[in-house]
Amino acid sequence: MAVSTSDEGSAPRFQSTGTFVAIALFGMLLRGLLALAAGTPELQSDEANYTYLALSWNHLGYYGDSYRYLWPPGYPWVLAQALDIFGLQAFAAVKTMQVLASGIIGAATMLIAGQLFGKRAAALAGLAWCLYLPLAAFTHLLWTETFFLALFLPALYCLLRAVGDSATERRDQAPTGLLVCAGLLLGLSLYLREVVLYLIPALALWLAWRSGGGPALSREGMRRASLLLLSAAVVVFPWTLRNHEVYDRWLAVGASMGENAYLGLNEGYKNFDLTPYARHLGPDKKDPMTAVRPFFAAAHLDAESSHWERAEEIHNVPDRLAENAARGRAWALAHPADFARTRLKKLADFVAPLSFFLRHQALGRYPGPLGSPALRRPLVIWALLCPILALLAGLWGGFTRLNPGPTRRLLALVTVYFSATSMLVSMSRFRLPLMPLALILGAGLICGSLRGERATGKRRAAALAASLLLIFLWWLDLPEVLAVLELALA
Amino acid sequence: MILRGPWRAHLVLLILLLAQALAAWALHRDRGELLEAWHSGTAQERLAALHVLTNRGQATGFGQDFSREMLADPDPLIREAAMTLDLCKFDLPMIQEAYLGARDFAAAASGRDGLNDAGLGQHPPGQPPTAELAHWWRAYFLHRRKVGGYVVGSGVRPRLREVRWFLEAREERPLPRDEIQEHILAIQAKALRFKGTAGKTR
Repeated sequence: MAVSTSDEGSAPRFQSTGTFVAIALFGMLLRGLLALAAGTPELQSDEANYTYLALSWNHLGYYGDSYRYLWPPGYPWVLAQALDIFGLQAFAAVKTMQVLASGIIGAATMLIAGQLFGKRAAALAGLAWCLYLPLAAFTHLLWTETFFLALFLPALYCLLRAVGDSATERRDQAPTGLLVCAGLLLGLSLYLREVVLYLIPALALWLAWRSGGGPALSREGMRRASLLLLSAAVVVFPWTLRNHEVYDRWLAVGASMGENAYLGLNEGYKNFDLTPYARHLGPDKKDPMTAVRPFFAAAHLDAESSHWERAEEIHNVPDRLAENAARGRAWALAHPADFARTRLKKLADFVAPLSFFLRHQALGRYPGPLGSPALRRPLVIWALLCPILALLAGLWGGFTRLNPGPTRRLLALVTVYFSATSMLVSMSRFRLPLMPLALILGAGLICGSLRGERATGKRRAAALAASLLLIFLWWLDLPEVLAVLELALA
Repeated sequence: MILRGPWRAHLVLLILLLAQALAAWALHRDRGELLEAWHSGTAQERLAALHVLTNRGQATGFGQDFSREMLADPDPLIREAAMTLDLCKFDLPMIQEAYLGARDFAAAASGRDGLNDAGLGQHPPGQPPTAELAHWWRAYFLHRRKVGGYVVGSGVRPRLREVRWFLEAREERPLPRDEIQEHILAIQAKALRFKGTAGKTR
């Protein structure tokens, strides 16, 4: 029998606090050491782009756009402030801030695990978070992920608490403070990554649906949903108004759909776990992109050409990006078979056991001890194993340990949502918001197994079927994963 | 009634949203006000106005002639702003390339003759100028390292030491001219090698 999500469904008790704080500190310590061992790698891809935006913001006094994207201003703003205060030491300062912020990710991971599966699972999930290398590595990279997760995961915890408290304590009204807090955190997270823009209304629907065990849509459900939406809106609205003033278009926070449609709904194949190799590898090395199985990656195997160009002639950025998205949709509608076949590859890229840590190692990007063979080889193996173990354990935990109810609906919603976001451009970085959840579910699975709990046959069959699908997706990406591994272990 | 109970937070949030909308309405500037700020404001005010003018709605009138006027401005900050996406998205940034590639940079910077004499579209720069090197590096960095790709004049992404030079240039500290030149030539050579390799393998 599966564990009820509410049998131990309370926040970890006070006596566990010391353990949780110790685990969070341990995770931060490991990340700090990792950052020290990394040295100061050269700026890569978006790291360099964010830095340019920050420098030009400081120099010219306004936040410029990125032509192909309208990135949210949060991360360039943080970098701009750091550059203004610390000069060249800004990068070290931001990395230090990220190490500290990662403690929030660890704490939220443990709190959610405690809420779902109890204290022992919370500690186990915390330890797993400490050791999850692909996520830890983002604390010394200048990407938005660490700050984003430090806002997003506590928001999820607030939502679970809000719903969990009202269920267990038989209250009709979910705590207002928790819902407001969740909305504010989600609103803030939008300033870092606009990816959750459509998740927020979906979460509002989740809140509205059968609130407090009542009818499908009730007054209390509407109250909860609208509170979440308003709280998020109050944070985002100033930037929406700024966008309207600058572009004369209503744009909530940023826009990346148009460029992602160009890259993902067009003839070519893009995966940013692989694209840098072509530029940076010597001619004697094998580019992993050339190993990709063409059947799943290439559109138009019959060599029909239907490449579409970006709408460069439109100068208004939101208009241009919207037009690019429309052209992408038109391409997908005109080529349904190509679209479906190549989406399998997107899903495979989403779950492939690659990571930016592996990418950095394969490209020799770490000037510090982290790049030395003695550390690199074992860590590369570990970085490869981390997502494999976490995804499998999380998948089995999700299928066998979560009972029907709002918690399972929430986790399913979040999983489906982030998987869907990878349907245009996909890479390992996009699945990071799901990885703490996989660690939590994996911890729930292990703790349940230790208690001798067994799921029903139906659930185990579902988990087995999902595992087979996952293994098929891994097989799909196997050639390029092996090529990356070869480079990283060389 | 609504001020009490579970809907009070909604009311507070709605009031906050309304206040934000009112503030935006009060701060809104129409095209006339923006143009006035562009013509008569301080450098920062001019650039803030220009950013909106070049992005709002269907902006027109910001082609290469406008960039040429900006590049003849006595204020180096205005000249550097001509290198940004806001201007370079309207046309191929030939005039910006010429400005950076002008052999007699001091003359070009003062708008005397270098800008007209420099070959349009030539690869910048063979030799960074000796005069106003800090301004030149800021302009070069803003142009050739911008986010947006080659269609708007960008070459490659910024490197760490380029960031250091930019920070030093902002403080008008002396820059290592020879090192900069060597660095730029090395990047150009690498880009050419990549183009050659990409042509063969893809």
